[in-house]
Amino acid sequence: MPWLARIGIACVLAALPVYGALADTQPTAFAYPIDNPFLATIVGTPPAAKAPLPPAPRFRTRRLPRLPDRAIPPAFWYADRLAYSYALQPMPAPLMFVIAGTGGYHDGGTNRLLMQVFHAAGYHVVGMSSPTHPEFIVSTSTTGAPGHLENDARDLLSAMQRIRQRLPRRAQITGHALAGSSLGATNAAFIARLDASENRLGFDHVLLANPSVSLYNSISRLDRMLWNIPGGIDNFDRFFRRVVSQIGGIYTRSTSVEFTPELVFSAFAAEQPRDEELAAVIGVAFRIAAANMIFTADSMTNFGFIKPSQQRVTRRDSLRNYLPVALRLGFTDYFHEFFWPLHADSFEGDRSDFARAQSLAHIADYLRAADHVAVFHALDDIILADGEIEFLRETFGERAFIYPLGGHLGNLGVGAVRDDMLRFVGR
Amino acid sequence: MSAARYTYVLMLLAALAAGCASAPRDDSSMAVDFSPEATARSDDPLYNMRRVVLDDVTDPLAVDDPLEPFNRTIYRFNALLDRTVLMPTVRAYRRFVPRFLRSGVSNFFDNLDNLTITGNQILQARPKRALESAGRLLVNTTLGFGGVLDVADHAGLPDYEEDFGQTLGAWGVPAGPYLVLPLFGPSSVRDGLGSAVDSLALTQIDPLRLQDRANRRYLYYPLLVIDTRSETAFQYYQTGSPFEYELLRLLYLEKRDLDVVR
Repeated sequence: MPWLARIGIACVLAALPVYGALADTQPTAFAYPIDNPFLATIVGTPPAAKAPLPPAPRFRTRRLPRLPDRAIPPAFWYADRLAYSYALQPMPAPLMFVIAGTGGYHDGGTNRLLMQVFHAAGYHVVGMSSPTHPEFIVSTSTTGAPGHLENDARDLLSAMQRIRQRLPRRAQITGHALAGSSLGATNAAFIARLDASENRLGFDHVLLANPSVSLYNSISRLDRMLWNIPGGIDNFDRFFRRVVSQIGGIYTRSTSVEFTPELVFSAFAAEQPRDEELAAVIGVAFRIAAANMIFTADSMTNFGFIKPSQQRVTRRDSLRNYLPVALRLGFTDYFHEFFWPLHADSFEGDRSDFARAQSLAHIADYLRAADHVAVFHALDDIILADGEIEFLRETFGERAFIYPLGGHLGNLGVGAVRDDMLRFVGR
Repeated sequence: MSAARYTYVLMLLAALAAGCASAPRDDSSMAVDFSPEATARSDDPLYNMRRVVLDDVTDPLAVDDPLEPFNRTIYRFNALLDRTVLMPTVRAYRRFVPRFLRSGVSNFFDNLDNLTITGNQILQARPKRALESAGRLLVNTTLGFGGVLDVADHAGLPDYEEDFGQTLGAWGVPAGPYLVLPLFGPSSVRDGLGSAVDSLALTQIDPLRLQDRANRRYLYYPLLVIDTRSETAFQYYQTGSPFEYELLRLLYLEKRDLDVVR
């Protein structure tokens, strides 16, 4: 290496701590390279735009025993306990819970990113699965049918308290904080309110990353994304074959590549997909989450939605009669024909009141006054309806951090977003 | 994010295959009685195949699977084995064995595979690839200290994956019924037979003289299992999907079709 280059590198390295100190006082400008919200949602933060992270701590995974008296249907034998992960600090520190989004597992990508960021900032961290994840529904949900924000907050908060008791005794916990992404952020807002009213854990800071404002608006938008299949919904089979042949083409032509997500995305990106195709792919991903959730909730409640209520499904039984049906129904079908009928008797009000209750607007008064709750969102997030960003700005005021780009959760790896989060919690 | 995205993509592909929502519902679905009395506790569920799936829709997920009850039993056995034995062992392995040693082990087994890969490429009448794989074996075994270093990779020699199942496929043998093998996981009757032939061939050649040295065997086979599991990203039931068996079955069969053509 030429000596000039060595000196140059040495200078850059020497300047790094200075830069770090500057970053504390001068906010980094928000820079995110993808201006297509669908692509941003799929790709996330591209490596070049990612702020560097210290090495990940060693996460441990444990499984929380199921609710007492909870019978596990044989087909769900694997979901008999609620897995969670944690990483602790060697010194006294506050404990942050991080809640995953729709269908998300405790160790999913966004959860891990947030856990890593806040562990590096000095927190003990615990990752929680979404109440819509089948494992949560089977082992921990008191109602067996997720989507009711107050019930789900109750289930989550109880699970969090039980997990806190099970953390190793060496963990010295000085306080509590909460973060969530997507649906998990909406859950976090309701947990914050419940916790405050019942004086349970006491959260010093609550961070909402890209929450759904109205669940019903978000699920309608997600369900509708499948209508973007090119040539209409009847051409789904052709759409699938085209995607497979795109991926397959790249796969068979290359000799040394593995079958990785990067390959899949590069195959997809090479074809310069149109917005409709991107939206269709996102819609499909959420549709699988919906199918998993719906079949699980149906099995736990014996509602008789897609499985005859008397039917017992054993470990050896084929699900070939349920999967195609589950995949053809969406979150909105679940809401109208399963979830609302389940609650119609006990809820005071009609179906639209019930839908409105599952939204941040329902707890707007609480959020307006809650100085410890902040929201982080993107102007072009695909799960929000018109006017919902304005609602967040109006409700959260200075505690609303709205970025121009990023789609759904795509910009969480950007340095400016992380700086805003850390500054809000005072780190 | 890659681990999560991996599952995401797997599941995504599988659902793409389901041809979901390709069937418009019949008109009667417009007039649904929403009351709990009408929906719950009836013999028929609210939605079933008859109601939402048209007869003429081709559904890639509807794979013929005559061995399904057996397969599901083995699938569950594998998932339990993975949870209770394999993954705890892999975690300890990753914790106590430094990365450079682990990649050495991994390279070693990969290099050994070139024996059967070369053989299969000859059987598929692909002499150029067979030469490249044989070259890989030669370079890594000598310059790579018995295979622990992947020197051939730096020399630009491509790393092929070939097995006897693919050879059979290349000569037109169909995959046959889907088959879940104990420990090894998703396979087919053809590919299961292929794996047996490959490992039989390797024990016949016996390059490491395992036959007459028991202590080598006791090191070789456990290490092979641990390395293979450690190098596989898949985690059972990460998405919690009750349909994981179906989704994985489709993915396996689609990928093997591509492997044969490749």
